[in-house]
This record gives sequence, C-alpha cells and structure tokens, in this order.
Amino acid sequence: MAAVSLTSEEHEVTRIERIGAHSHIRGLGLTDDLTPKPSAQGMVGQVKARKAAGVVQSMIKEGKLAGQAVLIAGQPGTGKTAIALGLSQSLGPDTPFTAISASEIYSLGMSKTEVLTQAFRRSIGVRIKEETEIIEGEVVEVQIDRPATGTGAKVGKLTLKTTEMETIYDLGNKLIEALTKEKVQAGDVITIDKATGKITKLGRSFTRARDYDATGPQTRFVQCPEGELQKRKEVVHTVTLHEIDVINNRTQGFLALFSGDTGEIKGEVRQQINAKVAEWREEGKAELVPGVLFIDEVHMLDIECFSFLNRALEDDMAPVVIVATNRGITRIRGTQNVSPHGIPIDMLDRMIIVKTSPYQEKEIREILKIRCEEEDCEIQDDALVVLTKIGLETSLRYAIQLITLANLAAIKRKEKQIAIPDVKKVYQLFIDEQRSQKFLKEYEDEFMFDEGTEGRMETS
Amino acid sequence: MATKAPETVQQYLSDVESAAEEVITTQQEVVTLDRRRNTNREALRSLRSNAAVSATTGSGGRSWICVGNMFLRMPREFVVESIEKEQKQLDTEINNLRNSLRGKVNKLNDLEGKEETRGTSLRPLSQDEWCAVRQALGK
Repeated sequence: MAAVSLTSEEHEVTRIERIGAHSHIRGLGLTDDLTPKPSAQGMVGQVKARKAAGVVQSMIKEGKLAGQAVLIAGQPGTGKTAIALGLSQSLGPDTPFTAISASEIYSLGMSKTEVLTQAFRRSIGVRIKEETEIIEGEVVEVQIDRPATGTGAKVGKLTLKTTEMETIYDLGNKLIEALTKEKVQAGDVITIDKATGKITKLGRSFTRARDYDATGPQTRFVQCPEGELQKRKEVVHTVTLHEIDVINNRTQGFLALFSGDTGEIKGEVRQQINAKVAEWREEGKAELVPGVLFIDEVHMLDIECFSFLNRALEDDMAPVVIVATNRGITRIRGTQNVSPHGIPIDMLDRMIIVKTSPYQEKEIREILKIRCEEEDCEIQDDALVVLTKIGLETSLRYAIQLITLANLAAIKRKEKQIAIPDVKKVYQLFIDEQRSQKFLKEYEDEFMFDEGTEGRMETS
Repeated sequence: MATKAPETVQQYLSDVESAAEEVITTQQEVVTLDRRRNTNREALRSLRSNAAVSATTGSGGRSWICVGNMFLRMPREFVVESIEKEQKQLDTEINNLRNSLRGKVNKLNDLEGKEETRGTSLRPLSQDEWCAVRQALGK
C-alpha cells in the first residue's frame, strides 16, 4: 500500500507539458531534393509555400540570403506561423532563430528601434573555437611526501594511465594543493588543463566500481580514457552578437544577466563589438552565422520601423528577415496611406513573397488527425468527418479547439474515443465566430452601448 | 532511385574503408608518439634529480643511454641535450599529425554522408580572449 501512495506522490511532482498550437511541427516535411511530401513532420498541404520555404532554407544554409527579406502572406489559419516554425526546426540548432511578434516592439522601457536592433543581433551567430591542451587519464597512484618538520615544500608523484599507456608525473607544490583540494584518489578519472593547471574530476573508473560497498549517489562512473595522455581538445561555440553586447554593457551590473532586462545598449558598445568581431574574422578566428529573424503580424509595425528595417537590411551583418501577415490592402500604421499587406511599397519591393492558400477538405482532415494525436485524443472516423465539415464551414482554428473540448465530453461519458454526439455537444456549447456575429446582429438592440453597423472596426 | 552497378558500390565501400583506415592509423601514430614523449619526459626528470645526488657522491658525469639495441655510456649533458632535441621533434610531429587528422575526419564524414563538423577550420581564440567570452556566456 505504501509503495502505491509513494508513486502517486511522484506523479504530482512531474511537470505537466503544455501543448502549443504548433507543437506538432518538426520541420518542413521536404525530401532531400526539396520536393514537399503531402504529409510529413507535422506539415500538411501548402505544397507550393513549403517548396518555396525549402528553397529559402537551402539558401540560408549556404549563407546566401543574408540581408534579404521574405514575406509569408495568406489568410488567417493557413499555416504561416507553421511554415516559419518548420523552417526554424529544419535549420538545425546551430543557426540562430529569433521569433518576435511585431507588437512586442512597443515597450515603455525601450525605443522601438532598440528592440528591433536587439532582435537583429540576436539572430546573428558568431562561431568561435576553443582549443586547450589537457592531460586526461585514470589515477593509478598519488604519492605525497610531507616534510618531517610539517612546514616547507611538499613533493609528490602522480601516476596516470589510459588504455594505451601509463606514466609518472613529478608534482610541484601548486598541483599537490589542487589535488588535495579536489580530493583526488587512486581510481579517479581526471583532466589537468596544461595552461592553467586546473584539475577537473570526471568521475570514478568503472574498474574501481567495486572498491567500496557503499558509494554516494553523486558518484559518477566513467570509462578509463583511451588513446594518448596529452590530448588536444577543440570545442566550437556559437554565440549571438546580442549575448556579447549584453556583457559589455555592464553599466547596470550583473543583475541584468539574470533578469534578462538588458535595457538599452549604447551604440558605441555595439561598434566596438562589431570591430572586434571583424578583427577576429580577418584573423580567421571567427565565422559569422547569419540566422533568421521572424516577425509575426508585421502589419503592426509602423512607418518608422519600416524605414529602420529598410536601412538595417543593408548592413553587412544583417540576418534573413522573415515576416508574416494576414492583412490584405490596408493602412500602413502611422500614416494615412494604404498599401498591400500594410507594408510600404519600397519595403515590399525588397521582399520575396510566399503565398499560403486556404486548406482543402482532405488537408483539414489530415491536420485534425495530427492534432488529435498531439493532444492525446482518440477520435472515431465518422466524428472526424463531422469535425472536418465544421472546420470547412467555420475555421480550422475553431475545429482544432473543439478537439480537446470534445475529448472532455467523451471522458464524461466514460468513453475513450470521441464520437459524433461529443462533437455535436461542444459545437452547441461553444459558438464559433460566424454564429457569434449572427447572434449579435439579431439581438444588437438589447446589448449596451451598441453602435450598430456604423461603428464597426475596419477590417479589410 | 537508379540501382548502382556492383562495381561502383564496391569502389565506394573501399573508399570509405581506406579513409577510415587513414584516420585510425593517424590516431594510433599520435598515441605511439605521445607514449614516447612521456617516457622521454620521465627520463629527463630522473636525470635531473639524479644529477643532484651524484654531484655529492661524485660518480662522474656519465649516464647510460639506450640507442636502438645498444646501451651507451655518455656524458650526462649530451644525453639530456639529445633527449630534449627529440622531445621538440615529437611535439611538432604530434601537432602536424593532429592538424592533418582534421581533414581526414572531414573526408570520412563526407564519404559517409554525414554533415561536416562546422568551424573546425577556424583558428582558436587566445587564452585571455576566451576568458572574456566565457564571461559573456555566463560561465
């Protein structure tokens, strides 16, 4: 009985994973020659847009598209964010990818251009290499002689081995201190940094696993190292320009690192860093990795931001900028002028435009099926057909939202699978946007502060 | 996908094998040289510490050295000098082998269709530059 209650306690501690709207996307779903598969990696349909995104992706990988912009345009719920996300997933972990929503730039603490600049610099990686000479081996024996008087220099010997060789090192005072501080004993696997003399304990050798009857839980067992004793270790790191900026802008102290609130970064600091990085590049010590900056809902940017973007894209350290919008011909924010997608014509001229189109019935069915799997819901085939119909007539987002709701209804009926009655029930309980509008029109007189059709928001 | 002739497949496999063989031999060579380097280091160390002892007892400035299959009794300075010379040579040789290893591993990865390890052709940052960068990474 005790054991059972113990496990239930453990379950409470485990984190509940939330499922996001695009958590099922793992890539663009393309073959090696960029032909889109009908349904792969969580992507369904949108074949043309995905192929275009695939071309963009391969250009980014070759570093050719830096300083250009791509616009993904399409109606709401046609997978614009999904394509951007798939693109970021397929670029791999080494390419920096920053996703912001255009509304994020309106912050009280920072100017609009500062937020944009930070986002730009977050999307540029710098690849640098660290090279260290280390001595790595399993300790066979440590021998430390203390002088009889108690004070004075200690001398000692350290025997290290790998699977291939064994050797004895004579120890100086400093290393002996480091060894005693790290509590190194025979059977430990250690590394000694040749340049600094820093000793790191990697763990205990497997062959010594049975030396003691009781060992602490933090004891880590490792294999005896192979090959040579004196090794060269090369590690390649990718850091973003923004990370370097933040550290060199330490006017507000260390706290900035933890709170993430970096405030505005001075222009001079950025210039210095650009100069340093340029110097490294010239010496062959660093490589630039142009990443991707994704700005969602780009029509929310105003005319100042667009002119800033126009200029920033010409910088030689600019990332690939991907923007997405669901607007048609509309007003540019901050002006009275009307322009396609709410983007000024000169900006639009710089962009490659990828169009997404509404999903077909078959595709909606497929997406709903994938979402059911993602949300851990089982659904009967005929219920899926009904849900697809709902998706076609209302919107895909509404149909997706009904999945979990219908699942709850099914659980209430003590059934594992979602059936037609569940879908019908939640369809009646939660109305969609069209029905809500219809309802409001019917009863508009009975609502408070109603302005009728004249005061409606302009959406076109 | 077009089926490939057995000859091309065989050719491909033997290419991969030979590339892998090259990597392994280079690694093995580094190990052998490093072993030699370590025994030389031990010898130098004990020659130095014995020098202090024999200076007081006065057993002459000569020690044994093994060259090939022969043991020779040589003046200590000469012995130390020749071992140090060898050490220097070993260091450069190991360095050269390691540098060549990079290209060989990349070639093998390329043949096996794995992605090239990026950034290995870069020159490393210096010690104090790394100190600054490590700070930037918050470590």
